[in-house]
Amino acid sequence: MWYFYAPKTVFGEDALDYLDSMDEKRCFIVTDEGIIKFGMLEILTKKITPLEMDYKVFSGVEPDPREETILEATKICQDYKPDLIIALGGGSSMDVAKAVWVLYERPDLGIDDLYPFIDLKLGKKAKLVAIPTTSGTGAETTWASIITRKTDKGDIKLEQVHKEMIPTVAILDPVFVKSMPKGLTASTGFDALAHLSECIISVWKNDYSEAMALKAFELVQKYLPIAYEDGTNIEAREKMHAAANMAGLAFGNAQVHLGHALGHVLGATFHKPHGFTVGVFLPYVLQYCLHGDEAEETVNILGTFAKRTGVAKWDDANLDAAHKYVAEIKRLQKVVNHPTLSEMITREELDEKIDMMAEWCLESPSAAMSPRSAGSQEFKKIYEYAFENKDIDF
Amino acid sequence: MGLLFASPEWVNAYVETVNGSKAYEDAAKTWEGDFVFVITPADNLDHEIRMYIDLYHGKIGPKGARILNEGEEVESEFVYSGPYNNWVKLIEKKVDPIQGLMQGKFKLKGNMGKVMRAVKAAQELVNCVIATDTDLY
Repeated sequence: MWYFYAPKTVFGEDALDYLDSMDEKRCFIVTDEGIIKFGMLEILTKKITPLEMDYKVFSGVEPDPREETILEATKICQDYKPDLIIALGGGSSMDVAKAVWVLYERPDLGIDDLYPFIDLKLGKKAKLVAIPTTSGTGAETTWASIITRKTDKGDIKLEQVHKEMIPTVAILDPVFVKSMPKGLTASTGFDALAHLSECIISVWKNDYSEAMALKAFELVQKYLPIAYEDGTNIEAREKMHAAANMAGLAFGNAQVHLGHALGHVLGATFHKPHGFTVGVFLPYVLQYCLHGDEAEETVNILGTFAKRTGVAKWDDANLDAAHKYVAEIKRLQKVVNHPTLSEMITREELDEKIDMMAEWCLESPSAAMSPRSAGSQEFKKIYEYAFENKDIDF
Repeated sequence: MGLLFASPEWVNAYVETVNGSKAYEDAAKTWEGDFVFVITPADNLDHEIRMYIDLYHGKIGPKGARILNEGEEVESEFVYSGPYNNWVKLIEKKVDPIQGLMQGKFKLKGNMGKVMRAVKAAQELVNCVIATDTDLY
């Protein structure tokens, strides 16, 4: 028995018009200052004002949102008493809005209570609409809220998950992504690529997720380079928006693993763009999973995936085909000028933090989703190999 | 021939396996907490079995591990329970500990947030069951 959870999804040009059909009248908008600066909040408020929808904006979301931010937003939300919460932004705004939604509906709970085995019974007070302004996180489709917590040993990212945190509606309107800068296009695009690539071999892999991952890869491979080179290409923007959403549906129901464990820890430690922190490890974690005594299933899945997507030929051996897939990831990294790990952090920074980072990786639930187990020594080695741009040989 | 699953002799062998597992030690080096595992009757198992296990920093803890007597009450931080047939699925790796909870095959009492930060350790505990020569009912 398994599940495939998805929000109601509205996509394409003018998808925002879906709001016309909603009856809710008090709207709490969760966003960040950049969204306001670039005029995207105005697009939304111009849409809802004629609907006689009262609204209140919380714009305090920061990258790698902290639990204090969530508690602050929750307090405002509880005072305002909305019947609709709209997350407008990238993954951070989605993460905050999901947690706020739970804590607003269930004031008896705290952030540490957001685990998957209880009934939350959300939706009695409000619906959650997610409107992504980047094409990568897939957070508008998923059950996860990534929250940064300060600890004595440094920042950690809590990976809080619950199926009821999946938004009620996801609105994918390309109007919100047409002005994404190049770097953000690249990093979020690689987030999507990491989602779809990791989830097809995870221990929770399933046919439904793989179907989504296949189409998502096709779209990313074709349209990420176009969107990167020419951000005004609305077709490429729309297709990448769909690709990120499909990759979100894929991994949201199958999970990601080592690349996200490594990336979340790197991001929490050095505060780098999430998409680059997971994208930088993608070739290495795939190579790692293709090694080892129990790699046969992973080789077959990834090899077949490479053939289906045209990255490899049908008469290639599966191992060769799987390595061609890794090579394609590396090619795409070059096309979008994806930074290497040694361009993101210095040798000194790595040496100082690597032991602690390897330990944190073990506490990531994602670490347990890998088809090949990794302990602290393996995590350290993958950090080292990635820093040296060296193919995994263990 | 192996040892009967969740028999006192099996628990002793399992303790040795856990204490010898480098993978578990690595994954659970900060873990402190004890469990009662409850195996309720199903399929070929006609009686309830409860197993207590104390886990501390990657090893069996000072309170040890043992099968509880009928009616014996112990305090534990966590209780992980499910029918025997689902434990078999867990041992055969057809379901993992977290998946089992999500599917309703198992129930967990205790601080679930703490468990969610120890998923890898939980997986290694299951691997230790697999590494113990086990006969099923």
